[in-house]
Amino acid sequence: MTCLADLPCLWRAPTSVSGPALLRVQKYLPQAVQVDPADAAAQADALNRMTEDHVLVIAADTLPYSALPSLSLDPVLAGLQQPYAYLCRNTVTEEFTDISGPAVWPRDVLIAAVAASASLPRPGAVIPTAMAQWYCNPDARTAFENGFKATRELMPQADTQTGMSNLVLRASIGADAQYGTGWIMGACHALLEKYDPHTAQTLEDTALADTALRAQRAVDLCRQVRLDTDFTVFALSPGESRMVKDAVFALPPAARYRDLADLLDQAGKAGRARASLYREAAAWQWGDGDRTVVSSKASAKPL
Amino acid sequence: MKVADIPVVFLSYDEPWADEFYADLLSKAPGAQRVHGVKGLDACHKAAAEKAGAQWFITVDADTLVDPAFFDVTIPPEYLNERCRIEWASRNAVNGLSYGNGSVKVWPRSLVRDMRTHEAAPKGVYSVDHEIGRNRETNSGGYGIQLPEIYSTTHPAETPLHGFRWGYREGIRLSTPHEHSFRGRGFMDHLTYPQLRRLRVCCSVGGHAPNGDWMIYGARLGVLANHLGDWDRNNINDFDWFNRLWTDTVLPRLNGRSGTSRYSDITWDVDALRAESDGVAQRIQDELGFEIVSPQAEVSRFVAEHIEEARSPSVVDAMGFMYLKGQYLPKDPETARRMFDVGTILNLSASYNNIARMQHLGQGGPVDLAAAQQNYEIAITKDNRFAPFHLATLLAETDPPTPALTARIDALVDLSKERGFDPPDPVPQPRCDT
Repeated sequence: MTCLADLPCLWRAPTSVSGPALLRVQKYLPQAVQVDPADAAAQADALNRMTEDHVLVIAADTLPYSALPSLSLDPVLAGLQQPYAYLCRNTVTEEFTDISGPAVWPRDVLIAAVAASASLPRPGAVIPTAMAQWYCNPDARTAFENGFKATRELMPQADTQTGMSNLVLRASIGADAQYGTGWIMGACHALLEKYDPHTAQTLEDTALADTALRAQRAVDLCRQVRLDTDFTVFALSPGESRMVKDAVFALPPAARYRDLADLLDQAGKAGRARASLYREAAAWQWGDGDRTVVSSKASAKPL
Repeated sequence: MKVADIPVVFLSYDEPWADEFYADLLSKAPGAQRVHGVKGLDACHKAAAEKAGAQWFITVDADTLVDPAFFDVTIPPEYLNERCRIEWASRNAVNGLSYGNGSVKVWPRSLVRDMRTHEAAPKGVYSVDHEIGRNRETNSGGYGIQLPEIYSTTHPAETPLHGFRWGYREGIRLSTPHEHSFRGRGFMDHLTYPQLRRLRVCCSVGGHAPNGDWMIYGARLGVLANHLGDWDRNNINDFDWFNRLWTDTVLPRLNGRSGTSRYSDITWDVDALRAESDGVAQRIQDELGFEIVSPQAEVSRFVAEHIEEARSPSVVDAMGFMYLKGQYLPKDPETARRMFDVGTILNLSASYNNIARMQHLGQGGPVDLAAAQQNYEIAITKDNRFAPFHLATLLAETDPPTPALTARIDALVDLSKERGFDPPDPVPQPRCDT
């Protein structure tokens, strides 16, 4: 059985990358070939020099876990001739995300994808196990930008209860993380929908440069979001933020298992067998249906 | 069997709202019976078993409201046996947690008859829970099957006294490590992750709800009592002791008129309660190193609204093991293997180890040593404590003896020991001639 450590690894990171990402990739994926994601020719050249059918792809802001290399290539997903990925944990909110997840690509599909666009599409198949962190907060401005983008991306789901809850949490927690208040500011701007990310960041430039100003601005922006929108967000204190992360993001949500199961249903008999295991896994953790909260009595204080 | 076909017993003791909640239960389960005023949690469950007069019965606590959909649930027949308690977690209406506290449960009469827990525990035995499947000294034995759906909401703080008592009991229970003897600074390192997570929420969240501050204060005092000194934890089984603590110590300190409660004529000083509670939190933080927060009411409500707990994935592996061994559930290696396969999806090291064991020993299929070795290796990378020992056994049985193999076997056995598994039977060593 092929381990991911045995696969060639394309590390899509500019030469300027440093810090935790560099250390983790060097330590856990020593076979990684670093290429600039903006340089299609260099990527194609690197891929053409590889001989295996599949390639492990790591983004510049991904911090792989030590367990990643020892994972086996998933035979069913690999057989689909589509890329598949693992979840990441957001370094500010600790939520499970498919942004910057370590991905396994069929090499020929990857060659076509890098030729088509500088940014790779996110794989549709995501295994609901976190195998890396999405390092979204190396500095305050990047944290702001990522908070804005990730929140904006989720906004179409605001009309569902789960989507609304995810959005509100995304803009409320993170004060305990490095530059987490920058993330909260970016998320709040996305919820306010007044400015594009570049304009918003320019407006907040002074606050982003100062720790105390950032903390105050995060509180102010949360208040503004509460006043101007339906999103009830609060800039939680570092201790409150840690508590909520522990209580809310202990395990990947059921939808992650069910989404993968739906995809596996299309992968023949072996895929359907795996799909049923993923559905069972979701059901054992979260139940089969929606959670029911009783609030039928007047004396009861519904949540 | 459908839940609706099992007798339901409502358990109340001194809750002023109990008549209302019982009426609510009767509207959903018209045949529900009631046990009221029986002192002691062991005794009242035995009284419920007698009242139900059936092989199995369902208990609903006095502070719990049940969803009508619960009565449409069908229970798999193999779960209904003499030693398994089946439970569905309840959502706490004050702090948003959902776990066994306030859960609705199906009990086998024989299990209840045999257990000696809480006030009935043998002298000197710590027992503040039914501890189904965990405590042989209290004869609980059996196994608690925790099913993932939630069909009830528990309202533990309908009066100040009940909120305080609930908080104190949970503060003790959740802050008590599995090895009961450990107390003091660093106790958090001895708790399971769900215990720690729930304890922090119990000590922090609820200030937005009526009497929620009492719940939090009780939980904080419980932690303090549990870990600063050698106080007898079994006191929390004695509701007379609680009444004395409440009347003689707690209320006089917090006397006032700003706080009122719907089901009680007690009044108190809201600010004094919060100040006292925050003082206890500070002591816990300073002297025990456990971080507690005191959010404003609106933040407390926000947190409670967004907490959603999943069930522990380890239930899957535990049930697989019971199917494999025929322990409490019918022996069924095929179902066992399926449960372990689900466990691997949930990243459980124990499930990899159990699959390896099945392949190693030819349980439920032919012996497959290569696959067994691979799964042992995965379990080892996931910090399983049994897998190194079992892999050592496999290698000793199968590989040609060499000095390198002997060294590897020794290293694996040492690894198991380091992780807390040190069986009395040593691994058979391969004979090595060089």
